[in-house]
Amino acid sequence: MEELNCETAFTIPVFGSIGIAESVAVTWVIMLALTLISILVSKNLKVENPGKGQLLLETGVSGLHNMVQDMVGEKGGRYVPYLMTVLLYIGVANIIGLFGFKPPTKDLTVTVALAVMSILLIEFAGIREKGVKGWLKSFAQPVAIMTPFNILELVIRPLSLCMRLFGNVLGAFVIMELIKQVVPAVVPVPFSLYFDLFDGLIQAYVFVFLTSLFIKEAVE
Amino acid sequence: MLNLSPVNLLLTVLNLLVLLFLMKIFLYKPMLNVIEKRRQLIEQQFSKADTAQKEAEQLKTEYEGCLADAKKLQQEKILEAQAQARNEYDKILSEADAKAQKIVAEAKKAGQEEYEKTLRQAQAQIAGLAVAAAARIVTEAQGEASDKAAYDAFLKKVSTPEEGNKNGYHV
Repeated sequence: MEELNCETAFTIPVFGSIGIAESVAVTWVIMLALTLISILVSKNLKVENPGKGQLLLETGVSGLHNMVQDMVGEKGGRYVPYLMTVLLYIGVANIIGLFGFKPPTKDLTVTVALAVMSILLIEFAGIREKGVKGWLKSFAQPVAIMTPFNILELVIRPLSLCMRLFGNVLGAFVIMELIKQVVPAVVPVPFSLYFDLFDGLIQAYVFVFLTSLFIKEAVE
Repeated sequence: MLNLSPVNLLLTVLNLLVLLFLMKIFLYKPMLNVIEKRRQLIEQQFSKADTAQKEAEQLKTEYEGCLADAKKLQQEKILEAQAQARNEYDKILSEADAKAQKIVAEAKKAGQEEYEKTLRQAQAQIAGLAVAAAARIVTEAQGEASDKAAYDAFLKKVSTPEEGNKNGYHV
């Protein structure tokens, strides 16, 4: 069961040795890959007579853009790039197990970081839209008695976000490791399709969908 | 597995922000740029096509107007020509008519003159004949009175055409 551990990839010997977690290292790999792919595919974009590849890419990117835009609403347009990035990152991170890496989202640190950023963004969007006073007032809505629950939501929302993602990926990872230990060949393939690909992408979508929903709620 | 390290948490947040930055620069921006440019191009072409069509329609109406004018003019010319031709025809006809009448009148007059001339010649010849006859009678020794009576009787006969015709004299 040592696969479950999030190992320290390497340590940087400054400030009394900082341990860089494996998840962070894999995240760098993901960032590098995404950036390189982006540069590669957007190098030869044509305005007229785009090739099939470009059309596919454009459809993909604008489809993703429209999807997130629909979820976050018109007023949340400025948060679309961030949400798209999170969607891409979590999506790739969840299925990177296929390439032999440990998914970064299996590390609680990563999902907590994502959830913290989400709740910060949600509240920032609320403050930006309504002003500090309006934002504070929104805690007492729809009735004053809801105030404690609304304050609790500040903790519950990110907690549920990060735990859902973490639990799903960890669970999928554990099941896949168990299956691989029992039957190393052939059988893991369909399971991997479900747990790694399908569940991984669904979780990425759910995370972004909920964050968008909360932002939409905060700005309207 | 469940341990949280603040350093790695911060690093993850940093990673996300950097990734957002990179994606913005290398993926979203060029993509949306191209899409926007294409949209503008298409709009431009649409407006161009629109103006071209409007121009074409304007020209079409102009040409149709010209064509209608030309047709009208043609019709007018034809009518004019027809009227002119009819006038000419009438004129020629009336001229011919007048000429014919004149010819007929001239012919009639000439006939009349010929008739009168012939009549005069006949009278002269008859007078000559009468004189000759009278001379013969005189030479055959007749009385002056009987000569005159015979002459008058002859003239009377000649001046009534039925009598003349009956006796073989033509005038």
